[in-house]
Amino acid sequence: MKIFVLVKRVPDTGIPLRVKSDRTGIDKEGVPHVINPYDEYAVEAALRIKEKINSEIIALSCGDENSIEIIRHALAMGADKGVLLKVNEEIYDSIRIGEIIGDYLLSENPDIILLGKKSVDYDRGIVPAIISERLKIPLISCVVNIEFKNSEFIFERETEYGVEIIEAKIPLIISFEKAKFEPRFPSLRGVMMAKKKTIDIKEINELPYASTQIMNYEPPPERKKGKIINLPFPENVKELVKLLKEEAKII
Amino acid sequence: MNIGVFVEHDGKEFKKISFEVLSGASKIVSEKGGKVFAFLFGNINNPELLFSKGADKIFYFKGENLYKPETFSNLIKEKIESENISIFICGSTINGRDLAARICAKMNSSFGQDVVDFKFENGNLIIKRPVYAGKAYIWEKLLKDKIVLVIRPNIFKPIEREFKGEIEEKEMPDLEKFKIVKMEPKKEEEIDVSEADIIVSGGRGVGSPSGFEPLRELASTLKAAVGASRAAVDAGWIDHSHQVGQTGKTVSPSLYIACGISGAMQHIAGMRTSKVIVAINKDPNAPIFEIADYGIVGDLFEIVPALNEEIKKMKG
Repeated sequence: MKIFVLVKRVPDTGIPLRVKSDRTGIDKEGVPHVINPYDEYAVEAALRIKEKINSEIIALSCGDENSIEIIRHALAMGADKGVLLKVNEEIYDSIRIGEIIGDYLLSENPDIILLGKKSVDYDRGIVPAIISERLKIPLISCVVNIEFKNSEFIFERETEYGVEIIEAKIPLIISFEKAKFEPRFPSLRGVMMAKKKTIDIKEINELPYASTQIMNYEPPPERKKGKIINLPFPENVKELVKLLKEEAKII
Repeated sequence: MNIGVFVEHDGKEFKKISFEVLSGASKIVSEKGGKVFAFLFGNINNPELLFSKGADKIFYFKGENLYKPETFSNLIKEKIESENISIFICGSTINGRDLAARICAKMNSSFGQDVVDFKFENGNLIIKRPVYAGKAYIWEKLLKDKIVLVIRPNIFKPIEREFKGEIEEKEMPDLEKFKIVKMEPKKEEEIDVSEADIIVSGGRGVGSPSGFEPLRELASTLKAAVGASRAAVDAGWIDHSHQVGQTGKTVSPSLYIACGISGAMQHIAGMRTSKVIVAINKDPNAPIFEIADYGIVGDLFEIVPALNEEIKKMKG
């Protein structure tokens, strides 16, 4: 099987981010970047499929040159080769990213495309649907687990209503929620081997039409530090209930 | 400007977010003219309730109560074209976000995810939404003629009105390429964190799966949802559906009670827009106290049960 796993480079989620003073963007100076956490589950799922079914795993990213480090991470986890669809500016319009990736995959005949449900930068979650529509391949979204039965895949999908068990045949696009399995850490051997694996770089010069234009950025609303209730137990609890009732008027 | 709204329900009751979205849609048509079309799928007893919440007409596709993305999105696409719908809106739920993305892809429209505010300027819709899980917000101008929006909970208040419109009823075809072989409904007593008005949330300090028990009891007294930090979820003490923060849910309830949560950046990003935040933590230096309105330094296993008793007493 030919498996494409889509990975994106995003700022580390544990790091505070600041809006630039002119409000034109985020100050990313010195901010460490990581593989999008949801994409990590997609890479792990690809590796688990390969353990059962003979497959080639291609890690694909659309972004600038720095995205190579994220493709390498997927290669170190165990993907076979990489493709970078290289653009020379940051594309915040995720619909355009979906269109670029979709157009590339049209001639690649993938059996399965795996990716995170969204990337934790612009948080749009539109790329899986754009690719699905472009390729006319069915999408199963927000999957938390994946199993195999004969030639069928069985997916678990969790919603506010409960757990859906879905059976489907390839070709498929699967987007991942935080999954019930843990992504593996690249081994030292994996990291060494990743250096020898090939990464194809395709320059994307013509960008699709924009669907959106960012006017400005805003920092989140400020929160003032409130009061610590410095009373002995259980007076502190009584005081808290009083404050919630009379001052905050919330209970 | 006609507006379409995806209405969600569990077969018995409509979701509160659907009333909020209908309210937002009727606010737009009251300024811009046009009609609000509610899209209802499956089977529920009281569809006409939607008229009192802001729907002018209901498209009711009858069938079993399962989420069928390919079917829903194709039926909605047909109506967007035939009824000249300019904006289609879903509530920010797992299925709402999924359906919105599919409709956007089919319609080649602009997309506004997790909208918290919007305005019209020279005929363009400009939306405000969180990025980086709420570490920043952007105002973006949506450039295409057709627009699909996802609206966050607790942005619009549901409305009540006297109105009765037309229900266009049809049997739902099945256009799915894959099969849902089983649906295990969620336990009824659980309130979802993304819709809850009050959240009692636990972190590393909870210490074990059973450590969530006092939190559940307090949540039950307050009719609140139980939330969790990534640390508690990754330790396997509670299910991921409870996780608040950057790889979980972004929430903005009226009251957020953080128990044994230190306040990692990615957690705070997901709950900092809560109206009132209470922090209970052993460590007086925990960053959660920097953003809490009220804090108690102490053992959550002593404080939380006492808080539960005190609130019960107050409620009589």
